[in-house]
Amino acid sequence: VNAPLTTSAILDRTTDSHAATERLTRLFDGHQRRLFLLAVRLAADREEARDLVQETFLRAARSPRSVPDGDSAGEAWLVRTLVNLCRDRWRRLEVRGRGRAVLAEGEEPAGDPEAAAVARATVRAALSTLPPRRRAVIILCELEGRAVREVARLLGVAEVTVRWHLLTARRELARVLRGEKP
Amino acid sequence: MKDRTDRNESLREALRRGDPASEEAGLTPEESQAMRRTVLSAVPPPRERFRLVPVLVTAAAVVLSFVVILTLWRTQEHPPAPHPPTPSPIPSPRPGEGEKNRDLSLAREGAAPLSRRTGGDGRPARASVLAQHRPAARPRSVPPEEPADTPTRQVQFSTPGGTRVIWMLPQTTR
Repeated sequence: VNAPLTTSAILDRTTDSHAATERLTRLFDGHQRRLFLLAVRLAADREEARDLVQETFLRAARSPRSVPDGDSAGEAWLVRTLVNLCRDRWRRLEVRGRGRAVLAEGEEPAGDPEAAAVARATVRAALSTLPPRRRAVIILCELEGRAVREVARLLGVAEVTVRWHLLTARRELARVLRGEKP
Repeated sequence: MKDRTDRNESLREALRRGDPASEEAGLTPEESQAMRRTVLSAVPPPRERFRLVPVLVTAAAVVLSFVVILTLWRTQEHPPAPHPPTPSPIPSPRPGEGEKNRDLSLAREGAAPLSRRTGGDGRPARASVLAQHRPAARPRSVPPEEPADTPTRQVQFSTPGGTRVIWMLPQTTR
């Protein structure tokens, strides 16, 4: 049943729109950098990371009511949306057959002989072999240093699920970094 | 157990050494501003039609009040004419009542034309009965063109088809 259309309801809608813009501004200013770094670790390159972050905030803008109130809950919503977007993209790539980068083939970026760049390319390629949620778990735990409980809250899953993903991801990454095929 | 912890530590070290975001400073101010504009412009504006609703509601209320006031004023100025009573159906004469009705009719109309009373070809007699039962066939004022020195009598009646017949008869006619 629709709510009665009164003057106060109409004013509330306008106020809601204004409040949504303000809340979105706060979310963007507070979390865009952290979200972008997470996206850089999750995505294949910087451009893809930027697209992922923008799409995440666009989803928040298009349906402001779906973003829960509160800074912490808003951050968790953004992280979940980013991971889900990354997963959608990963599935599309899987369907197209481009799939996983295989480190064992010895792919290294041409023209970047420095060891740090090689290490980055190695880790990126190793991470790209993991499914997005597992990748997010190991990035949040190992690279961002977050606790299992916080990762569970951010991703909206149980702690035991986070531990299981973490264990599996470590095993797979170790195998990939040793040069074995995934 | 210690091996597993060592393995985890070395893995963590390897990951941090090759962190893809280790040299990433984040979005540049230009990128950030462009993204912010794009995101904020995607916020759905309040629907346009809702802006007109208060105006439309006020206008409708004003028009409705005006109509009500006008109606009340007109009713007080010109009270509606009373509805003419609906003609009662012609009662079918019961045995023995026909004579009584005719006597009553004669008593009311006094010296009515003979043809009307007697029925003549039958039609005036029917009209006479109608005129007797219908108050619509009430007498009207004499037209002004009639000379005042010749008194007339006016008899009106309606035919079953709805035609109103007015007879202007000299007072002396019997």
